[in-house]
Amino acid sequence: MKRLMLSLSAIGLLLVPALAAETSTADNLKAAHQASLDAKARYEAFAAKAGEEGYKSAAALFRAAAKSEDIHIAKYASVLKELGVEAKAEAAKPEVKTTRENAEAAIKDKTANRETLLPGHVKAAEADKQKKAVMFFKGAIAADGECLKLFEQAKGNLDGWKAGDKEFLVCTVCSYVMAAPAPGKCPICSASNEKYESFK
Amino acid sequence: MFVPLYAMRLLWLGVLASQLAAVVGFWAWNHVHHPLGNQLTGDSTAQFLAWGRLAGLLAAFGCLLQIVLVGRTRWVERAFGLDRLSRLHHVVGFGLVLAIVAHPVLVTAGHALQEENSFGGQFAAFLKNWEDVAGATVAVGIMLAALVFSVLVLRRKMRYEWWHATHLTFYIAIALAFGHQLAVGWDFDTNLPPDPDRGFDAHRWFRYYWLGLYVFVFANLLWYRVARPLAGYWRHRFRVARLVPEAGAVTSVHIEGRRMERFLARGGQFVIVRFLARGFRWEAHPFSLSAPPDGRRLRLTIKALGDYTRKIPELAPGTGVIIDGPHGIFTAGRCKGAKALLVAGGIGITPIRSMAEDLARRGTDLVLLYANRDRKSIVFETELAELAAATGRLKVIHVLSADPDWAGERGQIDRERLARLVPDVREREVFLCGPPPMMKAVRAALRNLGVPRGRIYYERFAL
Ligand SMILES: Cc1cc2nc3c(=O)[nH]c(=O)nc-3n(C[C@H](O)[C@H](O)[C@H](O)COP(=O)(O)OP(=O)(O)OC[C@H]3O[C@@H](n4cnc5c(N)ncnc54)[C@H](O)[C@@H]3O)c2cc1C
Repeated sequence: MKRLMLSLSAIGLLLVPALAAETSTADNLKAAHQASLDAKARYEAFAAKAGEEGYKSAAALFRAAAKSEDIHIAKYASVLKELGVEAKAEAAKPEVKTTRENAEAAIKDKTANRETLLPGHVKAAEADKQKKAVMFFKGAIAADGECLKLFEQAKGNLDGWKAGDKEFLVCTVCSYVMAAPAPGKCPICSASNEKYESFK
Repeated sequence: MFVPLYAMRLLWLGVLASQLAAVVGFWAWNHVHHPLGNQLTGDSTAQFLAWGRLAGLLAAFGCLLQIVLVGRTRWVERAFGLDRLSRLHHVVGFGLVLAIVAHPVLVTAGHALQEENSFGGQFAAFLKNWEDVAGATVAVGIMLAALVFSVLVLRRKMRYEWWHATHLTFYIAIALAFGHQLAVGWDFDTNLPPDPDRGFDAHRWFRYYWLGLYVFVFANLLWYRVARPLAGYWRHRFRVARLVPEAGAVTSVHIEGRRMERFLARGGQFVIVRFLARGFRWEAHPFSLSAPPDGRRLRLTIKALGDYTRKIPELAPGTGVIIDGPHGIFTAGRCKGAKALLVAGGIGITPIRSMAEDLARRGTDLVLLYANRDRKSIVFETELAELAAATGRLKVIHVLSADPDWAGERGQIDRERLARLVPDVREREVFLCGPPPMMKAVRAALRNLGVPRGRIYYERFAL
């Protein structure tokens, strides 16, 4: 009897980390989902502000970034659903400043995502063998990286971003963001350009 | 420079294996370091796309290999002989079908999954939206048609010339597919965002490597198939000197030219000739040298078997000849020992005749078994008798299958006859050339008598 108890508790001990690991990816997904919800609302508000201030191209880029977040939201939600976790659907109210400051905020955002948050999520998901989550987190890293580059360009020459002569494309399959002229197919997921959504 | 055969074979197999490893290596690296994570362990979309791309890469690589195999590339040919390479070309060709079909199927399936499309809908989207997919689809059509025609010509349901013309369209297919690879090949896509984790830009290097591969293969092709024969013609100005009727429906064509002592060929080799005359110009056919080159002329001995060879007696002396070659590794040089057995059937005597002379002059102890239907179809009967008398090293035994008046050997060259006529057959290296069924039977009989496979050399009159 004692033996049985011992082995049962041993099995229990083995199971604990496994369960814990699963919840860690689920938690990360929930966190990422929330972050993308917030980011989407923020970029939409930034876009409106940039429009008001006459930075037409910056507005287009913020809208593209919002679209990219929108795709992340859907992807995270789909994995959460598979894991049987309910995700909240309410975004925090965005804090809007001048377009220059907004661009800086966006850069900080994307840098943190790309350099610390998402890579951590990827590691956890890899440990949990959550293939889909790995793929989505990595897709977000790629998209955020390109977005970050564009935000930096905007910040560096904000006056050049008034004219509205720039076009941005978002791959609706994987969320990758590109400046036009974009390649005929998405460099990340290979979907063809009919899957791009254009923002000008 | 003398390089042993096995060393050349190893060299060439090493080159082939390393190139194949490079292609698969680049592909694997790209997919392991994919921006969306390791695709080789990814979900089914990732798997379909990854393996589909590998199929495409291998299909293209296979097509390049095919060109090398039939491109008369000297450094490959010297190692294996053109007939072996042609056989390999057939085998690889049929294997290629698999990769050529798998590529579009897998890639379409992968994208259909990813983009939540039906298979047909996805393929239609490719045709409409992806540059060069339409071209590549035409390429696949051409390749599959060419393969079907190859089966027909092998079954003799199609004329060789027609088949050849359809086969040439393969180059169009390769060009179309090449455009497709550079335009949409993800493995060569240089638009990927830089990734510090990846360290080196494998996509860019793969692209350079791939271009290099094509340049290398096509440079070889142009050099060996076009430039060299033309340069040889320029240097030697080959001309038909005279035609000599031989026994049966056989004609010898003597070819002369300038600086013939510099045309280095050995007895037993063959050349692919193009006679520059009406009705001949558009076809090149292979024929063996029926006498060892003497530094002044080449002799081809041609049997009228079909449309083209039937016209040979009409060739006018003075006609120019473009010569591609010499080719082949069926030469006296293969013979290491002091004794050899030569076996010829019908027009298969041509390489054997020239080799007999080379070997006899070297002092090799020779027995020649020469199979024909009847006495009047024996080509070179007198010539062989003279060679035997002059060298004292050659014993000629004619075996006639359908000549009631013949007092000598009557029937086929079979195991019993080999054992009786050549009791020391196991001490001899064997050189064999004749109609395919005969070659097969003789090889089987020789193996049965204990002659090791590695000591039987043969040439097929089919490429
Ligand atoms: C290495 C080698 C050495 C040869 N040596 C001799 C020789 O010394 N004497 C001799 O009489 N014959 C030789 N042949 C055979 C000769 O090449 C064919 O008989 C000739 O090409 C047939 O052409 P055709 O159009 O008259 O006959 P067809 O009836 O059109 O063809 C008969 C068969 O010959 C082959 N063939 C036809 N055209 C070509 C071509 N352009 N290239 C390659 N194969 C072709 C095909 O398999 C075809 O089915 C040799 C063949 C090879 C491969």
